Amino acid sequence: MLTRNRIDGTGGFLFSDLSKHTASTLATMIHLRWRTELQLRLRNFLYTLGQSLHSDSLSFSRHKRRLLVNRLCFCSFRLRRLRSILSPYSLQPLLNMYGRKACELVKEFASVGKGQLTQYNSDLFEQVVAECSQHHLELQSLIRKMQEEGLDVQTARNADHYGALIHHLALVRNKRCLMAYVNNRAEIIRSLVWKIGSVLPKEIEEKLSHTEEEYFNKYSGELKKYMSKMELDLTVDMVPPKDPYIKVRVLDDIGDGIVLSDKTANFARHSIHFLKRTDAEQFISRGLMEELTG
Amino acid sequence: MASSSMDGSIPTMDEFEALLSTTDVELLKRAWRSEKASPEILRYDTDLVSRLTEQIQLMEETVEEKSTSGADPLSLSLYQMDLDRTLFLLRSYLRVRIQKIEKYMFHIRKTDELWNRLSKGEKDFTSRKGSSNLHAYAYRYYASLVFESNEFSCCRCIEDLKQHLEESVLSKLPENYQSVEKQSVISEEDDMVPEPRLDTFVLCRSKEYLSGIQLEDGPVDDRSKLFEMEPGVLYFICYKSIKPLVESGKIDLL
Repeated sequence: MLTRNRIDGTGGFLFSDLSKHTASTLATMIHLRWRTELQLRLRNFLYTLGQSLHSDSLSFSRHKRRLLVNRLCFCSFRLRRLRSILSPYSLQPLLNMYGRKACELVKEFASVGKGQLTQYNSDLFEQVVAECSQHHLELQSLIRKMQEEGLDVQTARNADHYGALIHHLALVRNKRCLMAYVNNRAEIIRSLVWKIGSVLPKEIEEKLSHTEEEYFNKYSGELKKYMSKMELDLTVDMVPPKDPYIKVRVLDDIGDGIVLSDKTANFARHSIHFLKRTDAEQFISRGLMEELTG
Repeated sequence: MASSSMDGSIPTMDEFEALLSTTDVELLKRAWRSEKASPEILRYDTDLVSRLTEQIQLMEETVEEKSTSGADPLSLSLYQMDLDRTLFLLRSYLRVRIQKIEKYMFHIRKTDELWNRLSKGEKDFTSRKGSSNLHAYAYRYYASLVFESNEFSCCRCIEDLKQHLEESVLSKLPENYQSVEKQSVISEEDDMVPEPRLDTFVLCRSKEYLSGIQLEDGPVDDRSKLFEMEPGVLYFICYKSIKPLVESGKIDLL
């Protein structure tokens, strides 16, 4: 609210008219007619916040503009709209906005249904990692610069400090996104072990990265060990049992080589059997049989 | 598996229920329910589970015996059903625990109190701090031979997940940002560790009259009021407020 009032107070255009214009028409207006006005206002805004860029004229070099826009968004990140207003005006830096790629990565994970996996996006993943290294370089160079100027890095609050802060925050955010991506995928991989057992179907295997496959194998091994320790197969009995026997229909030719705990039978396709639930469950979860109810 | 209560004189209904509520199956059911409802991991009852495992084995033998000797098929199927249900309870109990442990494994490992709630051997062989990897491995190998620990896979899981995260993400980040627990070296707390939300609400029922429960939610001036619980009445309450009572077994979660 504070920032909004200050900007409004200096001219009263930027936000007060928002209700009348859509963001895009407003942005065109800014682009065409209010360019100088906006520059002026941005400078006023920064000065009022007391964290100005030092130069008198706002020469919008690419780097500076990016810094400025990021700082602006940082200062007033509650005002999401500011970004949409500024975007056509300074399109380039915003398209490369920090953290955008990491956000895309997480969004991609979340875009499919619960418990589903997307293809492991190693391309985007590497880009985010590269962005992180870039941030780290810039962060270090800014800190070096401050040290060369003889400032105390801990306490100094100049433009470089805030620049470094932005790089740090962007890096941390990227890290969180990357970790969330990998960790959530790991969670799904674990649930896969429970659902389909220790053998990965081809179509899922293609979606995993190399380390994820390794993790899958290790985890299923661990689970097996734990279950043999308890002398109990935990992957069956997923729903409370009503009757020890259930009626099932065989969906695939699984042959007659299967020995159940109490009998043997020929499981030809489409044949119907009356089986022990614990025996049938493993076939049901693998999609080889279906339970007939009613 | 209420077998002992069936013989001898016919008990009255009250006695019967009192007996029923102390059988191991009933205890397990209670533990299972609480475990399902509580946001954090509860104490693992080693004795209960080992008793139950023995009983299940006994039961399996009985069923086996009866089926070969050609006993009444109806009673056999009743036995089988009873066995299946108990097995389901036990499996589900262990499953719920494993899932919870997996979700919060880093948090559980760094909190002594929670770590001790798992089964006995673990904390000896996965030392939380320091201790070179080699040590940990040796301990683990030794432990896997010696201890009959029940959730022993947990620490392996942590190692595996940690390794997985390190290989895919952390090793590629700048050096000050490589910790699993912290966002960067300047974070004072472990701010990357997911923790269970203790301020969620749970349904619960008390076994006895309880008074003096401090509510931890709601407006500040309400918090000084103490809350009372009647036995057998359902309450919907913030988990944090009744946490110690759940741990001591005075309150059952539903």
